[in-house]
Amino acid sequence: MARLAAPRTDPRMTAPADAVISLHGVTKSFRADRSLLRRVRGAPGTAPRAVLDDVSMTVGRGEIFGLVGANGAGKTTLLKIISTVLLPDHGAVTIDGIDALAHPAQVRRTLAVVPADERALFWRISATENVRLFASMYGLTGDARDEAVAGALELVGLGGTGRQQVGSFSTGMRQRTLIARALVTRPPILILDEPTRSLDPLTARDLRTFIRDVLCTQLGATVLLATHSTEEAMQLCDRAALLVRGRVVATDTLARLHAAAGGARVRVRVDAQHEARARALLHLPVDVISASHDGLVLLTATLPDLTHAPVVVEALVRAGVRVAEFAPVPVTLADMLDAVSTVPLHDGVARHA
Amino acid sequence: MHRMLALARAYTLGMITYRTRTLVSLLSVLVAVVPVYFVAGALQPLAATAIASESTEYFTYLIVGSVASFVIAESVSAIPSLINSYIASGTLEQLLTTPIRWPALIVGLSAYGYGWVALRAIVLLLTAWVWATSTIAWPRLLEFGVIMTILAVAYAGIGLLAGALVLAVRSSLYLPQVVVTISSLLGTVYFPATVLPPAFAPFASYVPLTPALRAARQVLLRDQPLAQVLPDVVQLLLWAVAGALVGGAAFHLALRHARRNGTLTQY
Repeated sequence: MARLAAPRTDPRMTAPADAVISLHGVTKSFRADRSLLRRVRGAPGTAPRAVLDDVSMTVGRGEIFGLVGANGAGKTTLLKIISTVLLPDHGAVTIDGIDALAHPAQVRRTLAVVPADERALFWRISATENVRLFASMYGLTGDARDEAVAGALELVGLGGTGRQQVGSFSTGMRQRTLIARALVTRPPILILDEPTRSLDPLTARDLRTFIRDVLCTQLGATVLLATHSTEEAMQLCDRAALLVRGRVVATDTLARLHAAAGGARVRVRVDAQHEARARALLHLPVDVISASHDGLVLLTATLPDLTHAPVVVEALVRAGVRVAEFAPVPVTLADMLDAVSTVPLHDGVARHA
Repeated sequence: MHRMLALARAYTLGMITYRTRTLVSLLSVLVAVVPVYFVAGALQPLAATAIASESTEYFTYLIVGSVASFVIAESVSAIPSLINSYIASGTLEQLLTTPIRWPALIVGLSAYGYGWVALRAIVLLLTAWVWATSTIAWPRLLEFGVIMTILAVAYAGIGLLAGALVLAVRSSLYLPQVVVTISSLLGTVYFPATVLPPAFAPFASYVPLTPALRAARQVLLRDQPLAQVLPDVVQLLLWAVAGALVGGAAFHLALRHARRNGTLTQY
């Protein structure tokens, strides 16, 4: 793949006016080795390791914002800071106008977290009891609580699970229980940590539809979603921040991040006899590998952007090239990381993109 | 209050699904009484004089000591154990993202454990009542319960301290085990302080269990009113206040430390 420059956008250009979540200069370090004895002895490897480095970003009201990064990039740590479970070393966090570091209790009333790990549920009780517990935690009582619990379970399709213990649920059902638990008080802000991580493709697709259509469109919630799947981010998010080793290296709309990371790549399958003509029209250098099968050759080309696709197809057809397939290539997280890794990470260049 | 009750309810509903374990645990209480009964009977002539101020029968003396042992074991071990397992599962972190405050969280999660201790204590006392030759002052059960509750609070301070250690360094550093062992040895669970070696005997008065058991036995085995054992109860109350203050402060600080250092979460 041809390497492109890292996406460069100005956070001032992409920051929403009505910011619900706002982080400024958030830094966090952890000790990799927590052994007290080793630390006292000053053993190597006990020094703090930076997990988040000067992270700044804003999420607008009603927006689905993605935190995209590889494992260990710092996504979960960032979510934990926003949900007040962790304190940053430096920086400011404002949630719905409230200083999260000074008033964490107030912040906790405005948001709900769907963790990545379903072990956080009480496995020996039913989904109803799990959701009821969290409804009570947020101050709901009596009939209002019971109605909210039933409504939340109905919303995620777990209305008929009765007294069945959560421990006997499938992973997808547990994930939906976690979502119902978070939704029961209809919080204005929802934090989802890799919600489809352990789901099969069909359940994951249903959950994404639910997040987009119900959580955002129907309920109007602001959603902050951590994921390492660019496919998921593309499907769901209005904007995203690309996190690499604790740094936000790009913040923009997914379409622009996608394009900057080689998003206009297309796969073209043509008749093997017309390969040379197709290569010439697609401006493909001879060293670009092609795969041949059943008399067809598969080529991968990079267009300036996808709006050029009809023109290119027309040019190929006019040149007498028989085109069997012409489709955009999905951009993976690896492609995005690849793209941003071509530029050094220093202030003002790629840090905030 | 309703948050605490909701948590207690959820935890209890989960625990009562362990039906076989619950039944076996109750049966084990009954079975454990058998050797205690025979050993106490054999030692009765030797112990009679030493325990005379608190009980006429060594068997009931041991039974009341055992009930207190249940209470202190629950108080010092339950909190660190729950904190440890809930950190590992991510449940603690999840609960702390809700508006619940940590004292309500601790009480809510501990409620079932104390209820279970109370049930086992009742079973133990009923068994003793059936087997013992001396009487148990059942009308004083409420006063006995008050003493055991204050004892629970006194030792819960140490439980909070151990929980704070788990939050801060992910280990209770064997504090619960050390406290239970020392308290059981010096706190007159099995024998009065008078039979301790002279080098250890003075330390018995520095263990909260000592005044608690002295008062509890007077009330339940000698049918004395609570007013009669007020000095011991006041001493125990002071331990409880000190324990709650020190343990509470330590837990609060540890929670902040854990939020800063990431030990609250499952890294």
